[in-house]
Amino acid sequence: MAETDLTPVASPAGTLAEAAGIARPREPRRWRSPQLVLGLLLFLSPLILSLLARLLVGQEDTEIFAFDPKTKPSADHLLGTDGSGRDVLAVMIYSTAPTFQMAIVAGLAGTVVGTAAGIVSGYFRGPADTAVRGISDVMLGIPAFAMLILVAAVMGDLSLIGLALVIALFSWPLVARAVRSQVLTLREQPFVTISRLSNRSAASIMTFELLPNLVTFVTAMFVGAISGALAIAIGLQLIGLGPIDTQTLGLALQNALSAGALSQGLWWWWLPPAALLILFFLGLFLVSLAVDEIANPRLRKAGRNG
Amino acid sequence: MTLDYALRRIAFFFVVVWITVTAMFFLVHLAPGDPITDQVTRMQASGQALSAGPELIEEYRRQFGLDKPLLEQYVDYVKELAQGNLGYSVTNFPTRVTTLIGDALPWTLGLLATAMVLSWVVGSLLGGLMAWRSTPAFARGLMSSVMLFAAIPYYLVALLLLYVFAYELQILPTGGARDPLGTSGGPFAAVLDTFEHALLPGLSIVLAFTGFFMLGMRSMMVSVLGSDHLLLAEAKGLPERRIFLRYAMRTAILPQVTTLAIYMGYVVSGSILVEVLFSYPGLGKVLVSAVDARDYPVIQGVVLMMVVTTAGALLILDLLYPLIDPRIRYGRD
Repeated sequence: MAETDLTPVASPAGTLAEAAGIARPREPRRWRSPQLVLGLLLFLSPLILSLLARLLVGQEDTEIFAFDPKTKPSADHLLGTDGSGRDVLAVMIYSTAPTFQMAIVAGLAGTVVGTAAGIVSGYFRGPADTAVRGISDVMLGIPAFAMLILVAAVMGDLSLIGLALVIALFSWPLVARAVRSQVLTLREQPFVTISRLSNRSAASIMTFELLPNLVTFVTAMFVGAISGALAIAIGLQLIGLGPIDTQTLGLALQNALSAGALSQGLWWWWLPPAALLILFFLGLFLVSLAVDEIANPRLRKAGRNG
Repeated sequence: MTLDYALRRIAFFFVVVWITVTAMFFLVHLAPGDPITDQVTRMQASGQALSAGPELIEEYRRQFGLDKPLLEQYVDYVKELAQGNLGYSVTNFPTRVTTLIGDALPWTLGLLATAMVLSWVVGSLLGGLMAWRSTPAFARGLMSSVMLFAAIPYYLVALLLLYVFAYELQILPTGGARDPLGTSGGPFAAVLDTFEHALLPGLSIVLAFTGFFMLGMRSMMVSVLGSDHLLLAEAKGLPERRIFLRYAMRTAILPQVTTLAIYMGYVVSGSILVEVLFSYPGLGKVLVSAVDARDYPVIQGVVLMMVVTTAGALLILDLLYPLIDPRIRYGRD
């Protein structure tokens, strides 16, 4: 118990490093928590369902003026039609996968770059460390959303993947900083010292000794990065930025809101995309809670006592 | 804390601001097309009577110094900035960017600072209770459901609140900061009116951030729970409330102070979408209207404003932290 008392409080990353319990011997990790299962279910089932539903619903239903505009939900159109005569359900079916793709690409790019930068920076220290720390300190001082508004406005016609990469540009520093602080503790561990003494290359130590020990931690960062990227992308789309040539849930929501679906009482137009997005965010949140508990056994204990 | 550290920290603040200014300047100026031609084309397209299009563009370009070499423009821009001149809005030409920001800032600050402090207090308390062992199970369950709001972006929460309370139940206004027709019945009615308009946007921010602060407080509390000083307090037979507040919360609250300071920095940029959804006349609204019109001087001004607040809050925090937490000593690492 005593070893947990002096958790440094200056940086959140520092507490995470302590909390991950890397120094202690491995205990059996529980990947099968109800939170994880429910979270993955909430997150993945809309994607799978939407892909399957593509077999039943043709893309022509998502074209402008395919049907009468603004009709209420009925047997023909389970979620009604929107202001330009598209079937809302069909739009949702064809929007889900691109929305996912964007969020995953942004999360993956930010996590991969951030993890690589964090490992190199923490393992080598020296000039590489100074550079990574300098860049990430500056970038973390800048409110990403405000800056992204400017970038997206200037760039104009960004593609969906382009938008994802621009978002990742602002999300890697956070990952880098957190991974770096983990690596700082890891590199002092005996197994790393032994590897170094047995003359293994730095690249091999980083890949085969450090990285495997960071998997849980990086997974947690990845889940957070997906959810953050999704929140930012939808936010940008809601103010009319980002790609308009690919159907996404953000674009569907923005269309509805800018056309006054709220004030006209056309709930079936804006509510389904909003509800699906909320489902995604809840799913991601549950997954991240579960992964956090796996990475940090002390949280798990606290949840159970009493 | 050494003077050396403080000076380095302050220098870092200026580096962040300078890098942002530079990045923004070149981003805007190297982008294809220029804002003024864009603006004039847009005005012509929307049917506004502009007989002298090309001449107007030339005139504007001269006035904004766009005919000079890029580097010279950059130096001029930084010089003007240093004197607090953010330039003019392109769409509302004679209006200065500083005027636009000055009019909007009080609304944003008032709404956000209140909401943020409120959610910090509630979130810290609930988060602490959530990790506390004698909290009843049902209360814990209730608190977990509040925490779920942290998972959903605040603008989606705002959207739901707007729909339920303003459009369906119609008990609160759908937008704006004040009744456009004015209020009768003296200053009290005016205050009530302002409060009513701020309630929904404020609530959506409070809901989102309460959960967020709860998460942070809960995990801090968990790491404090095993401490020896808690055991000692218990052994002394102190009442539980006192142990909770004075011994457990007191220790766990420090990192929360850091988080609050960091998020106070985001106060200005955090509400952009809420302001848009509720047409609240704050900085976010100004920014988004400027984005719609591609009014770059205004966009640059507002983003700069947001960067300065964020970086400034971090600066103040770093300088004050040794005073709050005696364990922190700044030196060389």
